Formats: sequence, C-alpha cells, structure tokens
Amino acid sequence: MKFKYFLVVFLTLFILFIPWVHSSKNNLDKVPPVSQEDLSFYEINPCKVSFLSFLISNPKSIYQDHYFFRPNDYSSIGCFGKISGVTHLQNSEGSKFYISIGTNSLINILYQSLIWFLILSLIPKNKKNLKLKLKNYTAIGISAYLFTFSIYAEQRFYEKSLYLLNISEMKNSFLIYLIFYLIFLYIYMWYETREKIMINYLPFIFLFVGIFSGFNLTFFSLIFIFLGVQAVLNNDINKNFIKSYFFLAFFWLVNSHGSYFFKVGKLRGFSSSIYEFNANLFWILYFYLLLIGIHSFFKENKFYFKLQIFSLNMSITAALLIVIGYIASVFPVINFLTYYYFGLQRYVIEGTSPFSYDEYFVKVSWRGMSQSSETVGEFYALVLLIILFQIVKFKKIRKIDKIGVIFSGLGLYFSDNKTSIFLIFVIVFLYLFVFQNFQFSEKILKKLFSVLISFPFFAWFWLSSISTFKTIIEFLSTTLVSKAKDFQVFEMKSSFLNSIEGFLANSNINIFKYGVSFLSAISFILNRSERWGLFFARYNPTFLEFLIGSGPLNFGQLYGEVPVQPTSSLFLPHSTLLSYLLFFGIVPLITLLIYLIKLIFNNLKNIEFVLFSFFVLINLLKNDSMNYFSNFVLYILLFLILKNREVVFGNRV
Amino acid sequence: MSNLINLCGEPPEDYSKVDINNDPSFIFKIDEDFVSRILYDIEGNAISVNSFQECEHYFSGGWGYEPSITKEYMLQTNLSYLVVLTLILSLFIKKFQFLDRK
Repeated sequence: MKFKYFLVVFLTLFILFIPWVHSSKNNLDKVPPVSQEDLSFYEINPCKVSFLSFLISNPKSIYQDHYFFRPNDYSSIGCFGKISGVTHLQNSEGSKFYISIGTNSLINILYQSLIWFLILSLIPKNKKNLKLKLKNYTAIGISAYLFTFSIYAEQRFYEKSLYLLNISEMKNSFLIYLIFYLIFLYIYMWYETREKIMINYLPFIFLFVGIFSGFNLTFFSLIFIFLGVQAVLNNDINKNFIKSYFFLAFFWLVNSHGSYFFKVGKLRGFSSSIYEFNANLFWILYFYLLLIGIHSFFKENKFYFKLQIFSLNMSITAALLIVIGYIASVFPVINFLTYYYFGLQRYVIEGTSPFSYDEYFVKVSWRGMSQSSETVGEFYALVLLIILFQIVKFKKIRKIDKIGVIFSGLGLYFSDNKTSIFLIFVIVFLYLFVFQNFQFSEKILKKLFSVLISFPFFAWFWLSSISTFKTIIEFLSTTLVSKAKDFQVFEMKSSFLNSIEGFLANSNINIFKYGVSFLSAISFILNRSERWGLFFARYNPTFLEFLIGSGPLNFGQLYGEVPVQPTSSLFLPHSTLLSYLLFFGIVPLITLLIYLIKLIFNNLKNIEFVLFSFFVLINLLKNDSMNYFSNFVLYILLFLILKNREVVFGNRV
Repeated sequence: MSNLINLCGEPPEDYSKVDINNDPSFIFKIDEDFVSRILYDIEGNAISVNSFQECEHYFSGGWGYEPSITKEYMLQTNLSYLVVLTLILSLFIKKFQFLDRK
C-alpha cells in the first residue's frame, strides 16, 4: 500500500515537472541571466533553454515582480517547456521582462487533460470493469467530431495558437479528432466507473477552471457535453424543449450572415470567437448539449448530494482561491504555473495588494486568480449562503465552517462586490431572524411575494406622476440613453438606441416609454448606466433578432456591427439579462423569467430555494456571471438541487 | 515546402532562367551580391548555394525544406502515432474489458 502511495506521488510529481526540465542546450556552455543591456543569448537560442535552467540562472525571476512569464501557445512541439523568447520593456512603470515559454497547443490539450484526469481520479471508483457498447462508441465519436468541428469553425482564433497546423487539411483534422476521441474515451471511462458523488465536488470548478491553453474550450464542459450526447442517444430528453430550441436554432442559423470576430478575453472557453454560420452552429449545439448534460448529471448525482460535503468543498475552494491567488500574485513563477495547471482565463492579478485603496480612498477590487472580481465576489457570498444553510440544517458549526466564513468574508471584502455584501446581509437577516422565528402560511407568503415583485413598478409609476420629483425622474429616465450617446461615433446609431429614442420622444407609446425609463432608473441605482449605455450603443438587432436573438454565447455581432468610441477594455454588458437578450431575444427571455417567477411563487415554502433565487436573479441583472462556465454550471445545478428540497433537507417543508 | 522567394530571395533584375537539365559539366557562377544560403532536402541533407540560379535549380529539384518546419511535421506525425497507440492500448487492455462479449 505504501509502495503504491509513493508510486502515485512520484508519478504525479514526475508528470508535473517533466515538461519544464528538459532542454537542448548541449552546445551551450552557460545560460546567462537576463539583463536590460543584453538579451542576445535568448534571441539566438530560442527554444533551447529549459524553464528550470532559466530559473536556476535567474533566481530573482522567481520572486521579483518585474518578471512576467507568459505561455506561447503558437510554438513548436519541440519548444514545449523551453524559453521561446525574452522581451524587455521600459516604460513609466519601470523595467519589465516578459519571458515567453513554449506551450504548444496540441501538447497542452493532451498534457492538461492528463493533469485534470489525475485530479478527477481522486473520486473513488465503484466499478472495476467496464463494457463499451456501440452506443458508447457512437457518443464518443459524435462528441469528438463536434469539438473537431469547433476548431474548424473558429479557424481565425486557432490560426494564432495552432503552430503549423492547418485545420482545413484532412490529416490535421484527423489528428485533432483522434485527440478528442482519446479524451472522450477517458471521460467515459472515468464517469462510468466512479461513484456518482461528483456533484459534491462541483465547487472546485471555481478553482480548476479547466481551460486548455491555446483553445477556446473548457475541459469540464467536455464532460457535460458528453453526458448530453449520451442523453440524446438514449432519448432521455424533453421533447418540448428540443422542439422549441431547434425552432429558434433554425432562425438563428438562417440569420447568420456576415463575419464578426470577437476577442474572447476573459470569456475564453464559454463564448464564440466569431459570429459566422459554422461557429453559430457549433455554439447552438454546444449550449443545447450542455443543458441536457447538466440535467443528466443532476439526475444521476442528486441522490448522492450531501450538504455537509458540498459546503465543506465550498469552504475549501474559497480558502484556496485566496491563498493560491495571493501567493501567485506575489511570485511570477507560481503565477504562470497557476495559470497553466488550473486552466485560468486570465493570469492571476499581478502586483496589487488585496488591501489596497486608490488615491481617493476607494477600495481597489482584487480578483486573485479569478477572471473577474465581481464574479468571484458572488461566489464568496454564495459560500456564506451555503454554509448558513448547512449550519441551520445540522445545528452545528464545524471548524471548516468557521474557516469558510473567514475566507469568504475576506474574499468578499477583497472583491469589493457591494451588491453581494448587501444581499448576503439581507438574506442572513431574513433567514435567521424572520423565517426561522415566524411561521408564515403559504397564502401570506404568496401575497408578500406579489407585493415585493410589483412594488418597484408601482413605486416608479407613482413617483413619475408626482410633479415634485419631475426633475429627478426626468434625469433618471434619460441617463441610460445619454450615456449610450456618449459612445456614439458620428451619426452611426444602433437600431436599438434609435428605437429607444423614438419611444422616449413619442409620448403616445406610454408602456415602452415607462419601461425604458424604469430600466434607466434601475441602471443608475445599480451603477450600471455606463455599461448598459455602451450595450445600447452597440446593440443593433433587426426586429426578428430582437424577438428571438441571434444565437447562444456569441458576442461577435454586438462587438462588430456598430462602431463605438474606443473603450479602455472589453467592457461586457455587465448584465446576464442583456447578454441573454442578445443571444435569445426578448420573447424567450420574458418566457424564461415568467417561468422562473412562477416556479418561485409555487415554491415559497422552500425558503432556501427562494433566497438563493433572489440572490442569483439580482446578480444576474447586474453582472455577467452566466457568461462564465463555472458560474453557469454551479447556478443551474444549485437551482435544481435547492428546488428539489427533499434532496438537501429531506421532507421538512 | 516553402516557396522560392522565401528561400532564395528576389531574383536579380537581369535574371533569365537557363535550362540546365542534368548537365553534369555545368558550373554555377558565384554571384557576389547573393548572400549564400543553405538548402535542405526532406531527409535533412544540406547544401550551400551561392547564386540565385543555383538556389532555384536546387529548389526545383526538391531542396526546399526548412528543417524546423520538417521537424514540426515529423513531430505532429509522431504525436498522431502516439495518440493512436494510446487509443488502441486503452481499448484493448484486458483489464478494462471494454468489448461487450454478450
């Protein structure tokens, strides 16, 4: 047993370190340290020095913050793990060295899969033997084909990361297909032989994001897509859902004109890099299979869900996110390794203290190793929420709960997500002091809910009719449009902005005018006027696109159609609702919202479900959470788990 | 294979192609303005050329490979073999008993 344990540890360490230690520097006497004056050694010897040799020659690069290690996915296979170049930059912030490390994309997909399979293999087995039937081969084959097609469909993205590999050539497509086939075979082997307790380990997808370096794909999405394909082959699907989805898909595909490239940035792994027919087709299928896969995963795992383990893993993830994030932000080498081994969208935040304030004493948000400070703030708040549910259910505070509360509290403070902080206080108050002490009948709860839902609309309507508030109401009503106009280039105006201006000018169409001014006021209250204004300036749908959208997870059209004033960064819409308005259009979006509200209305006695839904819906209004794979999966699964109350709390209702 | 201009550079202004065929007694004149280059064949054999004419001649005879590119293609091919081998081993190792023998 001991020997086996040592063998596993040795193998893991060997696999982790082997890529970075081999070099081809037989003919080189000595690896010199990098200096501002002379980088010629690294210019004439690309791909010869191993990462480790570089670190030995440049020990300061391990901890000094002016060294930046960057993966070079567009490098040869032979260059993997070696220094492919060093650049020196001198600017107002000082002297910086960018060290580029060869990370060939083809090797990445195999190597990173191997690492993540090793981690997944920690989940205990419950089956030793496995039989592969024709249906399983078909599912593996279809899944592999789908992802090979994704590489073909997003060639413009991959031509910058696949070195000397033209995907249009048959032999290259076949190589990619074989790689995916191998990965899906192992996914099948892993999933079928393991205990269906994976749902309890779900929080770790916030730590191991699992994006392949050089690819616009997430490793963990492959698992859900595979389950989705299997569910379709087993005919384990909702017929009405498939009919409605493919009815929409038909229009999305017919409507896929033009070609708009989108720099995916921090959305890498869960957003199309181009708006084109092929890419749209892939992401339509991807989204459909992902939903089916998540549902199938839930059905198989739900009876093994354990709130104690789930909350324990939430706490561990929160703690590790902060600890690793902090260490990686201090040590450049660990930053690179964290980015690579955890499959992050972005490098860990560099050179910023989690406690820092700007010159106006405003807290600087700190995202650590996550892609967005706001999104990770939401996660920390969710950890607190789950710990709260756990403590109330078992009436016991464990050590790990205390650790979870401390780290999540710190994380919330570091991320400076004020909405989540506010929401979590409200929820804790409601849950502990109201719902635990007073018994409300379902009738009263339904009345309360109806009042709460309709209150903002009536309040706004009432305020609008009072002449005392006329100036402030007029300001709130027009703030969104005026922000949108700030981004306008000359007379080029998006169709959406044009229509809204028309509605506001034409007092006969009161319902639209009222709706737009209400949205504008909400944007001001949530500090979203600028971001939503930018969305309005860009959003240029036809009438059909406004009704049913232009296809899931595709921002290409939004960012490519209407030019706007230059912005300092990508500037996402900062609202899942607006993103989904672009993807699915107003009709499916309103249908979905009505469905969700109805679902909450019918489950008001399920307090945990209601509070969770309240927390998520508010955040979806003001954040892009659902455009990140980890949030998307966690929210949907938590929604399903909490809705099926008996899974978590027994039949205590 | 790379293209002629990439490997041999732009032809001289007064350049006209001469039909050398397989004349064993033909001697290439050294062009002083031409920076000598090394060409490689598919097997990695190298030859040094000293004029555009010589360069073009060898290029058309199949000496148009760049070792780094050839090496990359070779590594990609080897990777394909490795993936296929892993697939075969994974599918047929008895331990997993993948094949349904019902």
